[in-house]
Amino acid sequence: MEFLDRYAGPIGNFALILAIVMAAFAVITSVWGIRQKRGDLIRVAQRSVYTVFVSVVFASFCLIYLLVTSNMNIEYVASYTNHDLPYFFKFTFWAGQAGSLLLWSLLLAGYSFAVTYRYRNTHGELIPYVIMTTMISQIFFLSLNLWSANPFSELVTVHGDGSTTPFFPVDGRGLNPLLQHPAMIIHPPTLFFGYVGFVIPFAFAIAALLSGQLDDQWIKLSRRWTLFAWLFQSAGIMMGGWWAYEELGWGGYWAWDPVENASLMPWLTGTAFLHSVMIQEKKNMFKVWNVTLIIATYLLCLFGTFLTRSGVVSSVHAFAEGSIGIFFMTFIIITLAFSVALVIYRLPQLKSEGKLDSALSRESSFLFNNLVLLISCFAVLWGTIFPVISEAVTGEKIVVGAPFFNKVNVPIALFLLFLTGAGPLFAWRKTSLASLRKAFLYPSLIALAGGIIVFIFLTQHLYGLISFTLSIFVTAVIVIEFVKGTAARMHSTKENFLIALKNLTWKNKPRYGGYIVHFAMVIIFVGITGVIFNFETKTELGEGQSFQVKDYTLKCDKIGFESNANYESSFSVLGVYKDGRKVHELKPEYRMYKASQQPTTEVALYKTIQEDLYVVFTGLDQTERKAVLQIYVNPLVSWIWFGTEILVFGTIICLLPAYTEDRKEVKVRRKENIGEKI
Amino acid sequence: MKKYSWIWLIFLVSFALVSFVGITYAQGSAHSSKLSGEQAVLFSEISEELMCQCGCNLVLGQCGHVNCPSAVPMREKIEEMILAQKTRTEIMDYFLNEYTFRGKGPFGKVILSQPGTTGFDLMAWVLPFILFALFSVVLFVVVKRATRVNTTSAKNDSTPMPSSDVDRRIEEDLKKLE
Repeated sequence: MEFLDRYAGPIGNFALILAIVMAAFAVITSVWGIRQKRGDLIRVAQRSVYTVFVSVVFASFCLIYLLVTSNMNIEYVASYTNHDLPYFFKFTFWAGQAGSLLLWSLLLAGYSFAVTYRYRNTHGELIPYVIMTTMISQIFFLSLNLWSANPFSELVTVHGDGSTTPFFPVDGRGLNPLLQHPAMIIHPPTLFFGYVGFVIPFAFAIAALLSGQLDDQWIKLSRRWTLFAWLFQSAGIMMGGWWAYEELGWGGYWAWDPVENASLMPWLTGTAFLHSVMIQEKKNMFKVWNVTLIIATYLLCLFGTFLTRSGVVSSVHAFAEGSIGIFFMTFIIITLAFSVALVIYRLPQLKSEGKLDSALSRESSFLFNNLVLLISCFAVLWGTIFPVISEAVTGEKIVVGAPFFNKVNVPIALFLLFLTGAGPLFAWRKTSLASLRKAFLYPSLIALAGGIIVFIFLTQHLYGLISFTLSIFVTAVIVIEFVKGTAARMHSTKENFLIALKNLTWKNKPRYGGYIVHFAMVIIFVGITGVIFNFETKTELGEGQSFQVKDYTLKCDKIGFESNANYESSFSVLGVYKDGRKVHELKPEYRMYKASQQPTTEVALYKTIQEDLYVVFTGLDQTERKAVLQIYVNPLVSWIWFGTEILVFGTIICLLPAYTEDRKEVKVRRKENIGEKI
Repeated sequence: MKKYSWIWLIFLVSFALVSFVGITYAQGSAHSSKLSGEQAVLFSEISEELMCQCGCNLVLGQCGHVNCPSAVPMREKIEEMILAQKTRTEIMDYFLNEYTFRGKGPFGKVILSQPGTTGFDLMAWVLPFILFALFSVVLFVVVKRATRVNTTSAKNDSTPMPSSDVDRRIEEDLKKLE
């Protein structure tokens, strides 16, 4: 163990050097292999990718070991941990700049390994280019880790004669208290799984452009990887919201912070891509569009990381600022220039082979959905960078905060919600006006009835009314789609309702999984719309005193103090009563972390499907010994987290392999057909 | 379809019930303890129009920092001015032209949470919608053109549509697999 304590840092560093050398070797051998058409060189490139993965995993383990053993000689360990930090948080090596870049490298190496291994014996015309593209990205991130933000740098004392000796501080500075939350253990890796995952479809697109294999093969191969990345991006974004809601103590989950925006932008373009590739698969159209969308998605992932890491726009995520912005910007510009040049070079081969049958078709509705998603993405990007642009143009500083984003994006989001329902009502190829009218009739009537009920009994708030009405419309569309399909199956196979529903979904997973994801979006929208009913108040309560807030009575049972190795806290214990019955007990806290000397509040929550009672202990009135409490009643917030779970479920259904029996059956019939024609 | 219409009716009624049971609460708006009615609404609106100056980059109403050296006095000042019957314009003017924090200020437009609606700031608001309108027209033209070309080519296309039972069955199966 003594050996490891002394050498884990240098070994980790060596592993990173080995990884970057092998990544460079993989690029060289794959390019050489392609040019020479030599399989042996491609196999060398594949093995180099495996070595990169093993090396980066090893480096990550070294860093975890250093963190867990509190080796304070390592600058990163001293900066982000202290001896008394719970082990739970010491494992999270992505708390700082260097660690989160290592996480990027680790996930990228993992993805590259998985893709290379999965297609080790197939698709030889594309995979070498995929290896080349992913490994160039890998080299970039590893070089940042080695030369700009090295997690293995040691602290040294420089003596008068210029010699150095290792320096061991007594204790570290500790982890930012805001990051000491369970969500922060899983939120960054989940989001990074999304960000990094988009490298794979991007690499396939570049491979298709470089190799000239511009049919839909690259789309078919990258479809699951894209969905996988999208799933993690979605879950990561929502987990970030969950963390903000439970940790930041302002009663909300989304502040339109530049870094939050950075995670939303590739999600929007990725969503557009997932829809538009279906047109290429079915009609062999919009090849340029699809390639452009995935390039934009990858560049926005890089841009998001650039925003987080560079501090170019100030943000609540300022704990991750650093001086590597210039490297990122350079890499983004080079990638953009190379990709655009490649697309222009291949333009003649990227021409659509199919044509639209009608303007009233699923294809057209997907195009419109793409347009709205991209405008939404642009609105977010524009608002995020507008302060920088405005200062450059007018010389005057301005701020673009949440109210701007809400005003611009809410109408766009509502339009998207409408399209979520309207899209499935259009048939592929062509829809007649009569059948469209028929398809819209029931959902529209149901939505209209629902809207009237909402207007009379619930709210006259314009956006709220539209959002609830559209949610009912989309739900009606989805339910009708499921019921029509199930009824048809019940009729033809004589299965009972539940079996027919299960088989319907199972036999066409992308379609019905997609509907489940759409339904999840409806639930999330309903949850977000709850914000129009938010209620907030402030009070001071001494022991034994009560306070009425909406339907709840809060009774302060105790005001107390606690201390452990990590922090000191003052808290109050509040009994929550509803209709005279005690329904819950809350313990909001005010903590002062010892190592960092930073205060935080620990929100206390009473969650129900209807609303959240959200209590923040903002301080203690010492003279009267009263807890100062900020209290929020936030309706429907649970729906957002529940919707996210449904979204994950729906996406997993889409990710499952296609129903094989059906495939076999179709193949057999195709053969029959060929036989008949012969 | 008629035979099974009861099934989707059950679905819809269940959803409607779940929705409306979930949202049966009275409405309310955010307010501070000493303020009531319209004053509380005004407080909430002004809190959304100003940025906290502690460096958190959050709207004043969102800054949840414990004992924030900027947000707490700003909120107190707004409350004090509202209680002193100051108008929204007077309060906003104070924060734009007089308010200082730790020796810095007055802040001018930097204290506002959103761009103005004049000069270059207007671009922030209108550009997304201009692009939306512009690209909608482009999309309309592209779709129209692609459709027209197809109609013309379809007329000249002599390839017969699938007619045999086998072909139709395959089409159906492929549709199932879409």
